[in-house]
Amino acid sequence: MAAGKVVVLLVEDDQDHAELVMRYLTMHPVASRVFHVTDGQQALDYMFHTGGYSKVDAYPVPQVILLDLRLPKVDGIEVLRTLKNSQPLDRIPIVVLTTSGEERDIAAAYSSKANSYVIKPLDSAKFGALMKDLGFYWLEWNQPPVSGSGTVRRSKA
Amino acid sequence: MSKKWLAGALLLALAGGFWAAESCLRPRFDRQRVYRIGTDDARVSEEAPTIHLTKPWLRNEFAVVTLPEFHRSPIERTRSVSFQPGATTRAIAAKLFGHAARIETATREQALEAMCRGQVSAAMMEVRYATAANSGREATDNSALGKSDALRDEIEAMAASGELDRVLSPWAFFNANDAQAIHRLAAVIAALIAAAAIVSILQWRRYRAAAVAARQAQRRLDEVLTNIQEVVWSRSLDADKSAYVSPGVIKVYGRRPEEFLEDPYLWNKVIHPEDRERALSSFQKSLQGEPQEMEYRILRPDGTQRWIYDQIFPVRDEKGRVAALNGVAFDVTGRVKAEALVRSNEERFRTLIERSSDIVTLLNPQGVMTFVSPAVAALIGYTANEMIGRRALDFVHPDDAAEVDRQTRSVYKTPSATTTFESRVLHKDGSIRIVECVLRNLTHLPAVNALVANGRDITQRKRAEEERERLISEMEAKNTELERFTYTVSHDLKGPLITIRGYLDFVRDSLLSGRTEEGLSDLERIRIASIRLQEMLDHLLELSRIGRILHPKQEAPFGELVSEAVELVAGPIRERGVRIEVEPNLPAVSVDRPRMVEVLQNLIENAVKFSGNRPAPQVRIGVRRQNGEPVFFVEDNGIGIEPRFHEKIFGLFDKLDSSTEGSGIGLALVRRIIDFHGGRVWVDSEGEGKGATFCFTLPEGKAAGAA
Repeated sequence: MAAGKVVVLLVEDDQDHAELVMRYLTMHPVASRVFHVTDGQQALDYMFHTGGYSKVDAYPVPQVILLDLRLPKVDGIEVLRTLKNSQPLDRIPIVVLTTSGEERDIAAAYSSKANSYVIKPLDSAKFGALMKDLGFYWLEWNQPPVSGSGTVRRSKA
Repeated sequence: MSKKWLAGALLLALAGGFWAAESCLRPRFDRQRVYRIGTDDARVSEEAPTIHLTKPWLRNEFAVVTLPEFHRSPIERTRSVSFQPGATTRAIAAKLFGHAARIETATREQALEAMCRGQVSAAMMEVRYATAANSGREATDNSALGKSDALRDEIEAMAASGELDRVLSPWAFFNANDAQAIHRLAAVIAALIAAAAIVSILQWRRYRAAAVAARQAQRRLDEVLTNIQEVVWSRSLDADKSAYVSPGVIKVYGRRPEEFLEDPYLWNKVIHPEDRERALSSFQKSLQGEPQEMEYRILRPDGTQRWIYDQIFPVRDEKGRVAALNGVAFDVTGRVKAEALVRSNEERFRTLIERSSDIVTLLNPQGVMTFVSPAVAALIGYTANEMIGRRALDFVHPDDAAEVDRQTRSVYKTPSATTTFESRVLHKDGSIRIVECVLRNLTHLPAVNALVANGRDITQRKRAEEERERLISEMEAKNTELERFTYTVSHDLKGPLITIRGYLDFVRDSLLSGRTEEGLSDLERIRIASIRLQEMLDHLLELSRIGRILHPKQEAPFGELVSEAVELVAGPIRERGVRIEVEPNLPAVSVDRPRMVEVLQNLIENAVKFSGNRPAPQVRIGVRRQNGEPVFFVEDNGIGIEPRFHEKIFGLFDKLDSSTEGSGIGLALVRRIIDFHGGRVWVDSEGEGKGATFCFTLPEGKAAGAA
């Protein structure tokens, strides 16, 4: 996982789920570098370079954020809202990745300007396929916003 | 008319009377009578009243004298008058009677006539006489003729002495004064007659007018007595026992007046038997001379009943005895019925107001109660008498007084205005009642002239409403909780499942490719996830049991429960070296004992778990009074909780830190148990590093949970 790879921020409190996501993402041809945080507060600290994430170089701006909704401390919707309300971070695509298929959660996520909403499948084959597709779409096909500051960038392996 | 008529009659009577009197009194010039004149007889012929004088020297010439009324006896006054011989009769008369006398010359007949008629006062004649001494000489003398005896005697003496040759007898003539006296007498008689006539006329007229008036009065009285609705009666107590009953008796008693006259006891017989004795005693008193008034019923021949108001006025004679009874009897049936109706209406409304559970109050403009219905006692403990005269506002809860005052003033401005409001009022025992009040301005109705407040005790209704509201919000809370619960359950349970199934493929791949280490590691993940899943299911079951399985509530010293809980957490406490401090003198509580121990165990466990790595971790358990109720607390000096998480931590499967052990069920369980006890649970913490105090209340005397 060298520098220069596509950066993904994974916000997931379940260690096992995080491991699963990372395994599938690394199986994908698009080389990516996944940063994993376990709660909403860490996610915000990462993005704003506060708390334990003050070193700007060590924690690069991700090309996409995979965000769980049920999180300790600050919950997913709150993280989503905070990020989408702060420039220039509001341009970064956020994909909600959660167990909940609840209408209320979906509506809340989109209202808070989530770019995509994906439900974690129970079936492991489907989980794998989803991760593959997600990787392709967001890391390959999707054109990320060109950041004025240059911190949001796109690169290929 | 009468005055002119009277004046005419008077004049007529006067004239007639005068004429009649005068003609009766006046001596007539009797043609048959021989008047003696002088010494010779003078005869008056029957045919003509000419007096033939026998003496040729008696000159037939008279002076007729008319004197003013005031000359009474002119001749006596002028007797000594002397006059020159040869003076004319006229001159002599003038000298005798004065210049006021009117003197005319007349023939002897004329003079006689005038004298007889009384038209003149006196007449004089010239007398020529010859004395013996101067015989042959014709002497002339004048003499006044009158009634005066002195003069007559003088003349006769002169004649007797022969001084007068011939003399005309003076008494042959009337004196003028006689005529005047006759006239005066006649006038007086005439006046008397006239006066008598007038008086009789007047008397007659007065009598006639009185008779007419009396007839009219009688007729009018009869009319009145016949037509009025009242019965006028009179009874003499003298020997004659005469009686009178006015015709009104026909209408009132249904009987003819004669019936009462024929039977003096009919009065008593027609009185209603129940009233008879009372009426009789009243009648007896009237016989003693006391005026009476009484009301009694009578029975008419047609069977109907009438109310009579009878007044009796005794009349006393000059000796002071009761001589008669007069009376008036009124038919007051209508009035009595109306009064009875008014009384019964009044009674009905009074009863309505007094028996009504609603309170009726009358307020004067100053807000002072002038009437309070008795129902008030049941409402606020004061009797109506205690309240009348006091301001209504004195009984209103201080917090509501301003609003009630405002409403009252606003209604008072407009007659017939109405307002409805709810207010708390103070019961005598200090409790508070809720009253719904309708306030009406009836100052424009003279019969009321006040503000009328109708109050109704809605305390029960209000309490019921509040209870309903509370139940509804409780239900809503439960519903929300249930929703949250299902949500949590469905999604949180999926977590471990995803792990289990997600890693299964990796385990298979590892086994197929011989990477045993990796495979075992993933299997371990699956095992842990399945354990977690089972834990979660156990906890859910436990949580649902709290609502379903109730232990009977029992009285237990709180300190005992705390000791029990501390015992259960003894391991971790020892491990971390936490000092547990339990306040002495904890009260007894009435709780579901095993559940309450569970609550304490969870709270103490949490406190120990989050006491962190502080040098002197300490947990204090006790009770304090706050807002009048006991608040139990478990206080630690651990890592603390930021205020924004104070609510979140009580959520199911919610953890602040994913790395800490535990399923996130503990506080959810605590909240549920406390909820079922009807209490509240919350956490006080100023933030990270400041320690945390978990507090809960247990309502005293309230059933734990819903049955």
